[in-house]
Amino acid sequence: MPTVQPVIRFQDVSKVFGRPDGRGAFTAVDKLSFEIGKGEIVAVLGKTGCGKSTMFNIVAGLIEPTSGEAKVIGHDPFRDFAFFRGKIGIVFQNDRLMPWRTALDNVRLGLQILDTDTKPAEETARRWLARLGLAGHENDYPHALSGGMRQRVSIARAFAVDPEILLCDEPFSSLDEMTARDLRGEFVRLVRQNDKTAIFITHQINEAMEIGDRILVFHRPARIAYETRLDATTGDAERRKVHDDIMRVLSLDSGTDHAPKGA
Amino acid sequence: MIIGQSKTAENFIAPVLTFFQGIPALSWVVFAIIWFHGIEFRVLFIMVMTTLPAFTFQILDAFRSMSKDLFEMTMAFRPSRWTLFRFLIVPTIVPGILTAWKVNLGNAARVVVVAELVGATGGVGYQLLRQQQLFDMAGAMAWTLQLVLFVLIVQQTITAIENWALRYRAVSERAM
Repeated sequence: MPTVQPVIRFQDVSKVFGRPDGRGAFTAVDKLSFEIGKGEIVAVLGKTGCGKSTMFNIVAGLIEPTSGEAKVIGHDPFRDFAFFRGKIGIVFQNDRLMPWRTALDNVRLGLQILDTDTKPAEETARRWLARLGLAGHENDYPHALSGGMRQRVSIARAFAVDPEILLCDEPFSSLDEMTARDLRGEFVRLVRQNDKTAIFITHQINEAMEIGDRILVFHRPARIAYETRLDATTGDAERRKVHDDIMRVLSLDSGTDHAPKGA
Repeated sequence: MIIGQSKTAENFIAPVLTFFQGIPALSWVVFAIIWFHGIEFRVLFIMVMTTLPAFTFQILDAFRSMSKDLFEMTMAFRPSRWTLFRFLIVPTIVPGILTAWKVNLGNAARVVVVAELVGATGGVGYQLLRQQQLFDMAGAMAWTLQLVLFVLIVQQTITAIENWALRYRAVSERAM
């Protein structure tokens, strides 16, 4: 549907890892092609070890594809690494807060790396903490915060640098359902309000349907087995059908779960 | 830092440090007396040569134990090398540096005393030698206690710095 240049574009991207024991190789991503337009929230679903995180790391520029072409905002995210300063915000599965920094300083981290002046950086960090319901916890260290609060801090950290693209790797999977639901709602609201493009990786169908404008279902090794669009006009009956279709597609994934951790 | 980041540097430097670790402290004392004239420099040289390998390996271990998760998270912001060093590497290795200081302090003090005893005209080691020649037990005890007091004061100072620098660590209310 995107009519303009896609923000994220994968063309026949493959990623092959050597096995840790040196015996052979493991294909995590297999000729994966897709496009994501500006302002889209794309949920990526798949079984564990299906290559979702590998695709995520390629978009983030943390690993290089073995073959094919990955472009983010028209640039190679691995080779043009410095180009993406401040353009990509990431919310990981675990909060990845620096234990030696307070909540405020954790949110400020990206701004400090981007050389934002101290005062504006602090104001921005305080504002984002407050938006995520953490006013009053600015000076708390991560160990003093609950899992949900820590994940809020990591979301604030990602949004604080005002990135064009948000990458989320199962950010709410370790939280209780109530907290996860609240944060999902908050996340979608913030993405829409700030006109971000987002990739949201999850292994929960309901979460994908709640968050995504578009859902991509991966089979192992990472390739698109199913794709659908959802919006506010999608009725309950159609949503149930989509849910059942995704269930069926996931159950057809015959790839073996022997991927290295993080693939 | 260089060893931690470069396999070539590690292959070159690590064996040298391991070799140095095998050299007895007393050999360094003898080498220093033969090679150098300045007494202060001799003592400094002996202290550095006897503590450097353990110090380096301890900090290297701290560097290598850096969290991959935190590294990737920080790299996602595209930091410069200096920023990465300042915001991630330094805080990561600080506990290792402090531990290395605490562990090596006692060793360094003992080695320096031996160095002063053999090749200096001042310091606790030299004074201990004098007390031995005078057969003055009270004097020997006094100088020994002075050294112990010095080590304790430095240890306490490092502990105070550690408590401040690592104040972010969670402490369980339940005692072991």
